[in-house]
Amino acid sequence: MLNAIEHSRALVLALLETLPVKAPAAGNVIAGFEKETDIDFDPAWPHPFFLMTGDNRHYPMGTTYLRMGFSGVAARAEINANRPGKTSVQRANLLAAADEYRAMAAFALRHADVVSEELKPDYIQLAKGNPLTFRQAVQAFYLMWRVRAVGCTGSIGRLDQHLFPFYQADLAAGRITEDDALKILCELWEKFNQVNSGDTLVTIMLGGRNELGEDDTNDLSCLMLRASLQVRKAEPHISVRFHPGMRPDFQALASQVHLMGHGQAALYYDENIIPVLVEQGIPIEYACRYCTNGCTEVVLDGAGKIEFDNIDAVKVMELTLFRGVPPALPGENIGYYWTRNTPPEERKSGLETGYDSGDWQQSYDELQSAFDRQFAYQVNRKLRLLMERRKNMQTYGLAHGLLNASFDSLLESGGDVVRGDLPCDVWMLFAGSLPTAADSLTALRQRVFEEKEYTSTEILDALKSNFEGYEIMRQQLLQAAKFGNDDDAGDAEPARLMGLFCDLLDAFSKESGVLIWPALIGYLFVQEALFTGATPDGRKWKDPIGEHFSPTPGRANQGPTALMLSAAKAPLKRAFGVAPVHISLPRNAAREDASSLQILKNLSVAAEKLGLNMLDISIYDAEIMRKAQQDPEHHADLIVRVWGYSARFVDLSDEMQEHVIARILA
Amino acid sequence: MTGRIFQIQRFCTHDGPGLRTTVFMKGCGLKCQWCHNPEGISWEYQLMRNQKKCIACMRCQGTQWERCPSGALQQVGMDIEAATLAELVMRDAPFYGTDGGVTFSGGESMLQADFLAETMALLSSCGIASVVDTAGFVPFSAYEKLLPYCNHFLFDVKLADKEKHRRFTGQDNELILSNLFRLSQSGCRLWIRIPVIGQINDDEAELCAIGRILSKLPHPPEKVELLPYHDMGREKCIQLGTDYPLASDSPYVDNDRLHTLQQILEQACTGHE
Repeated sequence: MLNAIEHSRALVLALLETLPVKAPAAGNVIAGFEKETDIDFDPAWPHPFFLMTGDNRHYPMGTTYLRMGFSGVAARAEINANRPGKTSVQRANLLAAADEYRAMAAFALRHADVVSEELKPDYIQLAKGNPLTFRQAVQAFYLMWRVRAVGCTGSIGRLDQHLFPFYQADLAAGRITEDDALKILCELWEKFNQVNSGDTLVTIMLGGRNELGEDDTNDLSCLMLRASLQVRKAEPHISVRFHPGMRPDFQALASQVHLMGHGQAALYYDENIIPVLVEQGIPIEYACRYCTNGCTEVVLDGAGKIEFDNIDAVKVMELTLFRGVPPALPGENIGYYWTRNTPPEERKSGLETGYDSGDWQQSYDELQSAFDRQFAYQVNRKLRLLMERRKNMQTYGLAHGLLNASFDSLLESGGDVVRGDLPCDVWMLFAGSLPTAADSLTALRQRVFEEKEYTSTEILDALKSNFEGYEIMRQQLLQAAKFGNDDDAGDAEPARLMGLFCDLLDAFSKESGVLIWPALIGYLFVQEALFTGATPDGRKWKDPIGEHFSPTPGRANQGPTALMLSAAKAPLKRAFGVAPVHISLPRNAAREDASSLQILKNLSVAAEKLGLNMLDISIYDAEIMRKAQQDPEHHADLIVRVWGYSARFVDLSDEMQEHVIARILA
Repeated sequence: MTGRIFQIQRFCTHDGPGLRTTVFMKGCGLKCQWCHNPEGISWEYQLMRNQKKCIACMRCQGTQWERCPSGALQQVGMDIEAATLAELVMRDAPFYGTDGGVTFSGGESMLQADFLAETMALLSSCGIASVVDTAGFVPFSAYEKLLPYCNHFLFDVKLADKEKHRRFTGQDNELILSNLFRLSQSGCRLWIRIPVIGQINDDEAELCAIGRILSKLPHPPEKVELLPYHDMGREKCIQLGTDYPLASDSPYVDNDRLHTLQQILEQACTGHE
């Protein structure tokens, strides 16, 4: 381990010496490189992303450097390294961090040579001490965030909380106006977009209440929403913490951001999340820090990292029906690619084939039992794999010193974030596509076991042939009750499966002593549609599968209120990781006017009362999307929600584009 | 009691204030050529066949809509108890807020005023506000039945000229304008909606004439909206197997024209032609 720490330190130092120093464009104030191509990497190095063994990106970094400055953190690390009682690894970690933060200060100083005379004092200050102004704090943040995971980007967390003291002090001293701060934020937002766009993990959580029940929303929270309204681009991905005591102007701004139609701001409900986290034994001061981790799932800002795995329920359904051995799919490439620039790679569900969960053809009870056994088998297998990963992380995990020492407790202890030394790490399992799996069970219940319209053998034959020659049957299966229409016949099974998933995780958590956070998140739904054949809900191979706890695209036709009521029939709070419900409204239902703002507010408020813990509202015009497919060049600015992030529509794969269009509600 | 409806549509954002559930009632005394809900005109149950969804399996044998596997053949019209309808409307109560609620549309919802009154009374006791979308061709006594429960009407005014009105809607507008006047007199909230159909009522003279009528109402309407023609009714007539009767070669009205007409109308409404 000591060798590994030394190796990591050497790499970070070499990297910081080599990183380009880029002055901001005229009139701008934030210096620092943007794209990876700005960097002249030494080909002999490992890619900087692999400076550590473990995930360096899916959680916000700490904020020590904002309070102490780079040199201050270095000095503190050195002092702590020499305190008695430190292990050799802790001491090595702290000494590495001290060196790396000193190099970070030197990196900041190099910027002083290239920026304008006006900005020079900022970077000199960042080199020698702590940021004193809002502008300096933003500059320090950008440098750290960019260096943290060179070559990619990382989660940001509660930036409004972290930067507010600087803004407040500047305002009090008359150093800044609201417009000045907005201009800086807009520049920062533009820089995020220059770095990358799409599945970038650039997530910011705004607002929220604290452990005393007070509203933490501040003027900067509002300014950040205004920056999103002004810049109108995909990055950063904004989420908002909704609670009854939130500032009305903040809520109204969030609705205005919704009206842009980009699928932001995602709403998280404090009253349906924080008490549940506390019930799970998480101290309230940490529970109140929750934020998005880089996508949709929740992590605790500054209090822990996150590791997760996922299980796709539709594939489990297929394994159940075919007793562990699903039929071969038509022989073409079923690889996935998320964007046009991502080559196909992962082609498997990650589920184990061959497990026979038993006969299911005699009754619906038998079918449910077989599914539950297959699901439990696959879930428990995934959990075991997750725990193996945890053990490996605890033994071999290594983060670089810049990241480690950004957290207060690790700066004191010399611990390592990846090894699990923060107090509240999140271990999470996602269950994606539960609604589509449940729709399949419901269709079998109605058509095979209740109406006896078809035998189970006929259904299996039809699935194997992708419904070729079985169109009448397929239509009847499509007409069976579906999740998302506020119809108990279609909503019961998704709620049951969700309960089953949470029960399985509860049992495992009790047995293992490690809290596993359930989340109803599915981020591989496009790929899943390719590697899962036809399903008994009437879906043909490749047809879309529902993401998160949202209906199969095109199957909810009673509008968003019915969809939300359907979702609310499930015990959503139990999935505290969270259980996203995604509604895509057609543009003609929500115009950019005052009445629409009120309607969006009504939806947002109702979601809280119904017990949803996360709601995502997108507003799209299908006609414009079709035009964008034909003429991408002239629609490069069309932004849509994908799963936990927004992206340019024209950058998405054909399958993802169709998926996004199909989920627009009638 | 029982009413006859043909659709319940949730999350409506254009049928009155806020977020609403719209209930479409069967039956109408007018036959407007441009009607976008032709399935609401007849009181009788009807069949609609969507050819795009039909898989030609012939299970329905032409008329047995219950046997259609794809939903291509559907019956339009269902009878429903007031209490059941109120319950369905109440499902979206968490979303209505202070301004939303239910809108009764059609067809001509006022033809079933007794049913509406009973349903509205049930909803009113739960704090749900009702709005009625009406074309006005019913005896005023129908409105009187509702006024205790409903003080907000979306009132269609289509044409000012009596004969023209008869030609394009099947009835003259005497009763309609009388009802409009009396509703205004009652002090209820009135939103006037004017469908604008090219070659039929998209000329300045027509809009001025309508504006003059509105300017003489006892209370100025709260809102006057122009609704541009759309051809949803054409496809529905095909599905109903009936002719689409619109006698206009160019019924569409573009946004610029609509804007101009809106200005003309507003001036006429205030007596500043």
